[in-house]
Amino acid sequence: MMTPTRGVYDTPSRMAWSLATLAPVVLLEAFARGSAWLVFLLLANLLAMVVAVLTNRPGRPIASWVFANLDVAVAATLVFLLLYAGANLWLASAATALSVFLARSLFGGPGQNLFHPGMLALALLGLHAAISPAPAPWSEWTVIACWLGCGVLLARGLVSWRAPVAFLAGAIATAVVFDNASTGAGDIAAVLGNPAMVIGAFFVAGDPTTGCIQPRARLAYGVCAGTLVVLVSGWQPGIGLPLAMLLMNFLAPWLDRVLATPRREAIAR
Amino acid sequence: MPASGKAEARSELPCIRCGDCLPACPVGLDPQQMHVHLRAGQDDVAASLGLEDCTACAACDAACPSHIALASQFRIGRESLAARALLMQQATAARERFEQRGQRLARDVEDRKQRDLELARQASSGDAVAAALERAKARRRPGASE
Repeated sequence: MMTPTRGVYDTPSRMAWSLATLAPVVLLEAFARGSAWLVFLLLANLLAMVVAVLTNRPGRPIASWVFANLDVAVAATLVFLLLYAGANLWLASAATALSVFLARSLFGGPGQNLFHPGMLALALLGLHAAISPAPAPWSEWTVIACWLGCGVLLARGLVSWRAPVAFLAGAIATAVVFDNASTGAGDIAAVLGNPAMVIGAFFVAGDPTTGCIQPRARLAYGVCAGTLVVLVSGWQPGIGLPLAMLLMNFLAPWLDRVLATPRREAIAR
Repeated sequence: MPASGKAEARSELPCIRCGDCLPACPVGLDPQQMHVHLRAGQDDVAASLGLEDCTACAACDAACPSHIALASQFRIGRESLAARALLMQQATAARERFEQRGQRLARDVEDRKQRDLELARQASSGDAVAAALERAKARRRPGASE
């Protein structure tokens, strides 16, 4: 009989790897956006972590609390990377902490959240802006760093390829069909060269907690999310990703149930 | 201490729904969903997902990055289901016994009523009165044994 072996990466390692793959992007953006942005990013991380730890289930050791809550650090970092140009950084930090409480703590803590905290924060900030916020400008180096980070995640098996690839395929197909000029996503290169789309594909659509778990459901989830992001971005540039992803987060459990792999097929595989 | 031993000693973390347990299961179960429902106390839902078919091979334990003891949780779930099934069986048997006892008591009451009616009918007939008078006379005769 084959002896089962534990996976290479446990949950804290996976979260730490996610943070590590985002680190080069953060550093590049810190140069581009200024030191204040980096300071507020760290503040948002701290606030989000404090909220997550204070509202955690009692009875867990402190070390476990910190390592089990690294996902909020990823969420806070994503908020600041995807933040629209000219956003109030104090407000962004507060919205991140509030979203961690609303989307994660109220649902029972780590692994229990239905909605992505980072996407909820961005949606709140986008809706507060009342106008269509312009997405932050990105440099070519950021695009390269994003793709390198995502490549590491894929190569290490830290994220399933299904949802991110389906997300990008859905986004490209929709952008090509509708030629969405408002998002600048009129062709394949425009989608693949947009760090917001890449981050959305790998770090948001690829997030297992708020996404689907069944292989077919992950594909459907990715395609629908990618399509919706481009469509909603055409209506509300800047907050297309958060709004579309929150809607797909809501639909993920249903997709999992409808598109579950039959047992006979699962055994055969 | 070997690396695997160190990993086993770590505390259990919450499920992050990574889905690594799905391809690991050799009988095609969905350990993640069974885990969620067992945690929520929904044993019936877990049973409908095939909890009884779990072979306890612990392949899902090995795949889980959160160190969740899925196999032992499923074993406890199966034992809980079996215990509940036994309780249900005992409760059904007790209910049947209770219903049979009720029927038996009702039958006894009916029989007693019938017997009383029969006795009353016999007591009210002329032959019975004559027989009683005859018995009384026999007792009053001198030398009659008491």
